[in-house]
Amino acid sequence: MSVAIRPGTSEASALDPAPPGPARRRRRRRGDGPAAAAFLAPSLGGFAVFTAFPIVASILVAFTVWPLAGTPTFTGLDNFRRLLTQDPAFLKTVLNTLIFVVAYVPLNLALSLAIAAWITPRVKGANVYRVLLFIPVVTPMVANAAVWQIMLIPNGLIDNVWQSLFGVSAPNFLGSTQTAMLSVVIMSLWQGFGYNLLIFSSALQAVPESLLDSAAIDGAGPIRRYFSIKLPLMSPSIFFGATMTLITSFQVFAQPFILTNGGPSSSTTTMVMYLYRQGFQYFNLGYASAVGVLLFIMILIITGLVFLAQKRWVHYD
Amino acid sequence: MKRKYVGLVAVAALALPLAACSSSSNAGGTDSSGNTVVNWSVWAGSEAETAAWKHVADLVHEKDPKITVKLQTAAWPDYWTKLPTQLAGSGAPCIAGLQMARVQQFANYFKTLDSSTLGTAKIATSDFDPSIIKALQSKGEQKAIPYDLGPYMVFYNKDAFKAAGLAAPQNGWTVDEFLTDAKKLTTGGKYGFAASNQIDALNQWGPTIGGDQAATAGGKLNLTSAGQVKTMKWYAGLVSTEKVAAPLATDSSDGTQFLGGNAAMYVTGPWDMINAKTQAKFDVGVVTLPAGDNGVTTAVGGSGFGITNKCSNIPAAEKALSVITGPEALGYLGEQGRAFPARTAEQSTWYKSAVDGAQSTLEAALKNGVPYRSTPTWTQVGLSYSQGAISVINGDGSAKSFLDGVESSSGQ
Repeated sequence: MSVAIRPGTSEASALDPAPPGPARRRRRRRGDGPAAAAFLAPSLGGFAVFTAFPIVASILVAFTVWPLAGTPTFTGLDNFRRLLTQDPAFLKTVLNTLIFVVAYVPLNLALSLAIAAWITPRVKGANVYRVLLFIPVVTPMVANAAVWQIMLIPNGLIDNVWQSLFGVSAPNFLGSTQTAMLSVVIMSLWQGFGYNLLIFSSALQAVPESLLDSAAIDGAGPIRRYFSIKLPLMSPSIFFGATMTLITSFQVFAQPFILTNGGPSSSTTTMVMYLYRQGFQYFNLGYASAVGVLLFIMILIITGLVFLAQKRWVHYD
Repeated sequence: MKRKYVGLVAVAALALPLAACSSSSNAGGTDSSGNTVVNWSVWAGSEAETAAWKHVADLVHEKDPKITVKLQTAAWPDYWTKLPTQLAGSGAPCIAGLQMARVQQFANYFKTLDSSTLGTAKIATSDFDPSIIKALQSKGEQKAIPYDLGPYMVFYNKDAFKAAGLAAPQNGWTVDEFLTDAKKLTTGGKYGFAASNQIDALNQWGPTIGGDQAATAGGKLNLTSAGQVKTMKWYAGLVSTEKVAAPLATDSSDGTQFLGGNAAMYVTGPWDMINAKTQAKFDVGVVTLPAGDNGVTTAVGGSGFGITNKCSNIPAAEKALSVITGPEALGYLGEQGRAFPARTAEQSTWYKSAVDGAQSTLEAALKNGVPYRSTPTWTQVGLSYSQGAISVINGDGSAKSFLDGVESSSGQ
């Protein structure tokens, strides 16, 4: 048992033999309360003020109409009804968000798994690669997106290279509804896969050599070893990576906001962008909160399903 | 005994984040030297513009050493999303910039400058151009005092015209002449014109191409009129069929393209003379907007400054406002090329410092100019327009169905 630092006890009294009995134990528990509270207070206070309160407030606001200059009026489920039945623009953003998630999450996982498999076996300078591939994750998203925008626009870097190679202009990647979302996905991939790569390559390194050696003696080739031994042993990390990537990709905002500003003709407007527009550009605070609540419910359901499915493929032993 | 202190520490730690939340009011107060601080919020798109506003803020302190004006700037699009948030919260500036197209939208947040206020501040509205004074009124109440006005015109790259063997365009030129020149100027990866996805384009070209603007004189949205459809079709054609302007990819940067020498012409107002003078590495000329079926005509915009409702020190704000919109400040802004002064007596300052021929162009443009028309939800309409216009201008999608869509989604 660890020794708790108990306020209010001098060293001498701490050394006194404790009288046996339940009363003494109860007092000790009560005595630790303020100390525990003091240690917890900074982070708990921060959580209460900056996380818990806004979440509760935003759920409450979602049931009101709240113009910026004025008082909120309670309207019940009106905002949700309008969003789901009378707002084609919102439904389009749900579709866009789903397209982004469906394209981005599997590609992100496949890419980070593949690169992890490539750099984890004793490749010369594996650490250098790891650092290089992790750099986009820690550089500010807005700056990354701005640089990608300069590369992708007509007369940008890619267009100029394209012209010198093929003699014609490159497609207008950001200005065409066919390619704008694709550009957003590719930029996000470049930005985001380094995080999962780091997790997966650590997991790969944790796979015991002895298991791989036994498998090799049994005649398993490198591919078989990867899929039958390494992947199952990595599955908890893959589950973690997949869940986190799924949650963050539903909340995608900065990339389309900077790259395309949601255009052309709302082909890259995501749910969080719509929330931002409604809340901070059109000042429908209640309506924006309702979008936030719907997004929360969506993420909750999908994460729940992923957790249910983990029993089938995640091995914790 | 000590246990009590631990409890106190816990309470204090819990209170810390709360303290961080309570923001001090921005409405004014005093600074370290005991001067009254007046917060002033305005848009600025370049260092040169910020420096000009800073100079005007210092001018107030010079005139009245007891007042210090604290300047806050934001880029044009950000300013309009930041301002409402500030006005609703506790950080409202005392004096804020207000563009005529957004007066209806923000009228409730600004104090009415009645005759007694103007009397105390020694501001005589008769010293200003009457059209812009009227444009900054809401329901007949003066909400802001103008500092500038200006019709749209074409800024062009004189060097590019010479290099293409073209004569300088003359005031009163037609859209056909404009197109011919733009085609000749489009060569070697450079374009004759820089297009924009902002709704302003419809008000710039609408009066002469289709005979109307994106809003009616009564403040109703007018995007579905035959005139607006015609204007947008013609404008999109510059990119998609005539190919005299680069395809758009994201929010347009027509000014940047022009100043960077990648487009030989673009449309803006006299307020951008400061950027043309400080940033262009070539000779800049100005000429009236090309005349379509309706002759030389375009929208005339303008802006001013008002006192916000949340301002806690009205007398200090009134004093500051009278200096900020006073003859000396507007004369300075005119000399810098930041504004064509709204005070008629100071207008010559802009002429003196602008590029050659600016005076005749501005006068010709003003002659048949019409007030810039807008609706009470202009910011929102502008946002949905700018997002969808890119594809239409690039040639994927019809102008008519797009304009119908923007109008119906705006709920007007």
